[in-house]
This record gives sequence, C-alpha cells and structure tokens, in this order.
Amino acid sequence: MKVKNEDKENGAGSNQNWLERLSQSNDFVREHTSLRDEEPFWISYYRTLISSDILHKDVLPYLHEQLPLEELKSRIPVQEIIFTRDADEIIQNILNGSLAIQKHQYDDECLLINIANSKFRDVGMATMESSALGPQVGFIEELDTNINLVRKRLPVPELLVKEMKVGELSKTRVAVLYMDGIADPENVNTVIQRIKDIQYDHIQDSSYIASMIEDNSNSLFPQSISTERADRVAAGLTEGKIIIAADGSPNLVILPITFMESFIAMEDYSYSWIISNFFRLLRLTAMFISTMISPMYVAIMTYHYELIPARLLDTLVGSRAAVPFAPFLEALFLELMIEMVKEAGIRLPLKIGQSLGVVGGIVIGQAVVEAGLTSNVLLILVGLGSLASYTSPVYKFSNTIRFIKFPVIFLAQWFGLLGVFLAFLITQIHLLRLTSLGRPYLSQYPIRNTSFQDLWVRLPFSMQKENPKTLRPQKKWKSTGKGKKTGPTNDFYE
Amino acid sequence: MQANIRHQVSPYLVFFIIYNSQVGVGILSFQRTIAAKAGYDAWIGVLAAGCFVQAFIWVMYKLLGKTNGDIIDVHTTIFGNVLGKFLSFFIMIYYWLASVSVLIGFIEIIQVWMFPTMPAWILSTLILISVYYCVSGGFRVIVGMSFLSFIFPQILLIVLFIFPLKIAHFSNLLPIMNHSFMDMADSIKSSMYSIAGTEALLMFYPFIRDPKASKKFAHLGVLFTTILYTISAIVSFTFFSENQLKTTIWPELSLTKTVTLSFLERFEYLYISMYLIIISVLISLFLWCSSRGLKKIFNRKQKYTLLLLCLLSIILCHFNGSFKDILNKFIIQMNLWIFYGYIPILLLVLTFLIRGKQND
Repeated sequence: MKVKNEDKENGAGSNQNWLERLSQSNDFVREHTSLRDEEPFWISYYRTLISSDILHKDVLPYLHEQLPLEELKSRIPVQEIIFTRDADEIIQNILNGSLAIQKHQYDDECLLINIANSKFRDVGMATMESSALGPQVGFIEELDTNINLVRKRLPVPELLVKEMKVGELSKTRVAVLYMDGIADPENVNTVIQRIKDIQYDHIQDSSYIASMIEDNSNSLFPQSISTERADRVAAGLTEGKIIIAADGSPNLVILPITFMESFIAMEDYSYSWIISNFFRLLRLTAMFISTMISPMYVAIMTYHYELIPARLLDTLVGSRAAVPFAPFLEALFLELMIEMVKEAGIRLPLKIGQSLGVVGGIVIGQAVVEAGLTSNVLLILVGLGSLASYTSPVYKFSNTIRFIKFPVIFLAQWFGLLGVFLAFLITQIHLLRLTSLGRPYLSQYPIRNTSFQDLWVRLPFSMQKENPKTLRPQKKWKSTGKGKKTGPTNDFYE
Repeated sequence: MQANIRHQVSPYLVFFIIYNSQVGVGILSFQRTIAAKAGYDAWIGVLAAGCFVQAFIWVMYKLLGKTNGDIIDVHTTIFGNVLGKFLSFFIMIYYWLASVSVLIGFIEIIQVWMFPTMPAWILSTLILISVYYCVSGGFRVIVGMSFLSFIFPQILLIVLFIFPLKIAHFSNLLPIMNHSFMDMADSIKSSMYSIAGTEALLMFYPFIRDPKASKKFAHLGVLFTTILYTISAIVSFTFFSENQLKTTIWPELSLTKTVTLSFLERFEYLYISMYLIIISVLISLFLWCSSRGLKKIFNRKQKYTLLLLCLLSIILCHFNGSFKDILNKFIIQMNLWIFYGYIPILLLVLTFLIRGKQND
C-alpha cells in the first residue's frame, strides 16, 4: 500500500487533473453507485479495459453499504487492490484496467481494484516450430502465461524473473529469466543493463529488444534465438542461458547463442542420438546446398564448365540450349521468383497461400521451363536450394540463409568459383568476429569439448555431462547419474 | 609486455598458426625448385630444412622468453629505443614483402589457371579487402581463421594425395643419396623459402596465453608441415619424370588433374579457389605482424599502418614479370640472413647482456 503524504490542495488539484485527462476519451466511464444520494461511491474506469463480469459480480455488491475505503479494501474479493492518492499511479493503474473508487466526487484517496479484462488466445500448438515428437505447446501473447509455462517446467526457486518496463509510450513489461547459480552473473547484468538503457517509444515484440541489445546489429546472422517453444526455453535456462520475454509477444528470446545452435531442434532429443546426429548433419548440409548451389551453377556455367565431366555437361548444356539468357540472369530470375512465391505464401491468408504455392511452384515453374526461359536443371537446383533453406529449426536463421545467396550469386558472376570462395571466406571472418553477449558466436572455434557433447554431435544423455563452456556457467556439471541398468542384459554378459 | 588477456589465445592454437604461416603458394611449386639440382633426392632436403626450422623455433622461444615480449621489445632492450626501432623496422618490412610475394604468387596462379584477362589490381584488392576485414577483427580472428583454414580445406587436400598414388612409380626415388653435398645444400636452401613463415612468432609471442606450454605445439606444427611438404614432394617425384618435373611450373596443381569423379573433372579450379582461403589467412597473419610492428614503432593507429601496407601491396602487385623473381630472391636472402644469421646472434648478445647485468 502506497500512501503519499502530499498536502491537501496539491492533491485536490491533481485529482481534477487526472479526471480531466482521462475523461477526454469516450470509453472512459465515471459514475456514482449508491441508490441513496447522500454519500455515493464514485467509480471511474475504462469500459474497454475492464471485465464487466467481475465488476458486477465481485465489486458492485459491496458498494451499496457506506464503508470507509480501507474497510472496503479488505472486503472486496479481488487480489490486486491499491489504496493511493498519487495521481500518476492512479492514471497508470486505470490505464492498465483498474477500477478507481472514490468516496466523494473530488476526493484524493482512491481505491484501485484491478479487474482488467485479459482476453488472450488460449495456449496452443507451436505453429512456427512444430515438431512431430515432443511437447507441442507454444507461448502466447501474455507474459504471465508464458512465465507460467516455463515455471511449470522448472519448479525451483533458482529460476528468477526480473521485470522492468520498457518503451516510453508502450510501457511494455519485459522480463528477464535466468537460473540463479547457473547463469553467469556477468551475462545477467549485461542483459539487464542493456534493456534498461533502451530508449524507444514502443516495444511490440521481444524481437525488438533482441535486436536492440545484440552485439552487432549490422550482422545478417541473428545473435539470439526467438522461440515459441517452452521446452527450448527451459532447456536453455538449465544450461545457463538467459531468456528475455516481453508482454504481448509469443516469442521468447534466448541469449547468448552460438552459430550451431540454429541447427538444433528440440525434437533431436526425442530420438536416438545416432538419428538426431544424422538430422543435424542433414541440416548443416542443407544450409551449404541452399547458399551455394545456384552461385555454383552460375560460376561453373559462366566460367568453369570444364569442371563438369563431358557426359554430365551434355545434359547441362542440352537443358539450357534454348535459353537466351546468361546463367547469371537465369539464376537470378528463378531465385527471385521462388522468393516471391515464398513471400506471397507467408503474407497471404492460409488457405490462399497453399493454392498459391501450387500455382507459383508447379504451374509457373513448368511454364517457365517450357517457354525456354530457364533450364530444367536450374529449376531443380533452385527448388532444392529453397527447400533446403527451411530445414533450420530457427526461423530467423532460415531467413538469413534465404538472403545470403543473392550476394554470392553476384560474386559468382564476377569472379567465378573464386567469388564463391571469397564469399565463404568473408562469411567465416564475419562469423568469427561476431559475438553474442560478448561470447564467441562461431562454435567451431575455440574448440570446446562441450561442443562435442551436445552441439556438433549429440551424445547419449549419459554422456552429456557438462554445461556449455562458452556460456561460462557457474554450475559446470550437469547432474547426470550413471543411469545403470539393473542386471546383465543377456546371457552373454552374465 | 604480455598482451591483454582478452586478446590472448590458448597455447594449442600455436600449432595452427605455425602451420598456417608455413603453408602458402610455396607448396604448389617447391617440388620443381628443390629438384632443380638434387633431383629425386630433394625430399631429404625438405626434411633437413624442417630440422633447421625446428632449431629456429627453439632459438625464437629462447630469445622471446627472456624479455617476454615481441622482437621490438628485444631490440629496444638491447639497442635502446632509436636503434632498436630502426632494426625492427627492417623485420616489419620483411613481413610485408613476404606477404606481397605470396599475394603476387597467388595472383599469378589465378591469372595463369583461371582468369587470364583479369587485371592484378582487382584480384589484389579483393583479397586485401578480406584481409583487412580479418586483421581488423584482431589477433583472435586471425587465429580462428588459421584454425578453420587448417580444418576446412587442408584436410581435404591431403586426401587428394591418394589420387596420384594410383599411377605412382616409387622406384623413381631410388637410389637414395646419389647427389653431391652441394646439390643437397641447394635443395635445402630452396625448401627453406617454401617452409619459411615461422618468423611470425617473433610478433605474436606476447599473444600466447602460456608461452612455455605452447612451445611443444610450435614444434609439432613445424613437424606436421615438414611431413606435409615431404609427402607432397615424394608424391610429385613418384608421379613426374625428372625432366617433366623441371618443366612443370606448379607440380602440385598439375597433380590435382588426376582427380576425376563422376561429377567432377579439372579439380584444380576448385583447388585454386579453395586456396584463396589459405592465402588470405597467411597474408592476414603477415600483414598483422607488419602493421602491428609499425604501429609500435611509429605510434600510429594500426588502422592506418594496415591501410598503408594494403595500398602499397596493391601497387606492388601491379609489377609483374621480372619483379616477382627479384622480390622472391630478395626475400630468400633476407629470410636466410635475418632469421638464420642475425636472430641467433641476437640471442647470444641478449644472453651475455643479461648475464652481465646479473654480475653487476
């Protein structure tokens, strides 16, 4: 309970002030409740913000009697009730869905009852990061529900939540979650300090915060993972990662990360470790194919057709014999077309999007080849590449892969294979220079033994003994037991 | 005089830096130069040169361990500020010229094998832009790139030695040791140039976290490169006839022509393009050494010294033909005299100086 001791006149003035400011909106309601006119309660609220159900059931019945506000406070069965005279606090709370009760029309004392109407969609399936096995639940647009989802998975007091308000106008609640005793305090302090330093009018999504606090905002590569999966967040927390959640955003941000983590799906842990390693390798290969395949085509067909054995070259040249364009234009044209189909598929409503995929992908693709504008082979390669770009389980990262091939195509046109490798070189240097919260981003270097437990390869759970060293966790070892099976498994080991 | 701990690298990474500093354009053509006089016995010369480099590593560690800094610190301790910096300046010039020689060698290869009409300044600018980007990321980035350039292309390239082995004649190597001592000495001298590069240690020593622990990795790195060069020489010798070898300018590149897969021929295009990575990292390392040295000598920001060196390199790359040979000869001489003559003497001088001080 906050009661500020201000002198009466000043208080009366501010009372007038907040009433005046709020009542300019048409959805602001101010009325008195009592049937008897002597001393009615004055209630004020935003019609659009409160739940009229709670108002009528839980609050209004208590307002018929004449009671002091303090007495009223203990009677009304609502959790958040504040008694205050501070005008700013009153405005802020009313704007967040509180009901203000005054004894007299121009009283300073106000009872603020939080009866906010929080209508959000229900917790549902994770749509962007779906998986065949494992938990399906995804975050929603409400902070408390999201934290609830995480807390349910980690019911320990070490899970700490630090909340702050960001945004001059939006006043968005931003929460930083971390495991006390595991996460590196330096990382936690850095994150909290950087969030506090943010000055911006509105925060609509946690990605705003992610891109405002990341080390290098000019990089193509996301230095944090935005996820809507509660299991990914919980797993990250136990390793010492830091989570940023913002109210109104169904994505939580995981920091700090390494490059390779963008190839890890939570589903990997549901399979045998051998199979999940196969998938990780597959995704890595897919990234290379997706970024390199059309630049390679351009480079080889423009400069180095000798690279291709004669019989294969026959097929290649035969397919583009009728094509009037240079390989570069051909590839650029087709890549742009596929990107447009993808983009339109995302922007359009779900039902149209699907049929558009058929129209764009099959009809136009087929027609383009038949019209002799591109070669069959390139259509296959570009199709393969665009398919491969979506294998990354992190959506932001697959967008990076989508984009990155365009500059490489240009380099391939100018310098052939040399240009392709130049692009590779510069990307490598860039990745080496990149840091996520000051920790190295590229996971190949420096070599850590932990990256061979669960990063490049996933070993069986009994062999994932350490938390990733790049995070500098305070708790170095995971609590892995031997997990001994009882008795000999068969007669051979008796 | 140790560098900031945040900029230092782990001792084991010295292996990769040493490896990277030694492998450059030399490995593509040294088979011809070493066999010029010693013939098929020249691979013994490579091993011998490796032993010299091992000794040189030992000398450098001794020398730098005494002052715990780089060569500039050593020079200033012995000769004082002005003369010391003056002498260091020559070593920086050596680093720079060595990087230019690598750059020119690589540009020549690209022009001969891939893009005959592409002007040198475009290629040198391209490479130097990525080099600038690499060096401006600091020493850790260069070491990271050394590591990746070891892991990524070179492991693949070693596998390529298998292809020519199918048609190799190992009897070429016999009889062993049928050349005169002077011929062998000549082959040692020619392989010294291709195997040179470890002198970069003189600059990056303060950047190693635990220099004493790193010593064995440096030796291992040299051992690895020596074996790599020896195998490469043997593979070429068993593949080419002696006269053929003398007329093949880049034996290693010609060797890669033996790689044929159902979807791939003329492997040398890929090989040369991949070599871009190795070359850029090597140039980055040398230009880092040079620009850092000049920064310390002249108290300028490294940004400006590096930019200046890059611009001068682009200009130098424009001179081709005889300039390259003169430069190479100059560098071979400079390398021998500075690092196998001057530096050991420096070690002796420093040892007596320190003893003298202790006696006082």
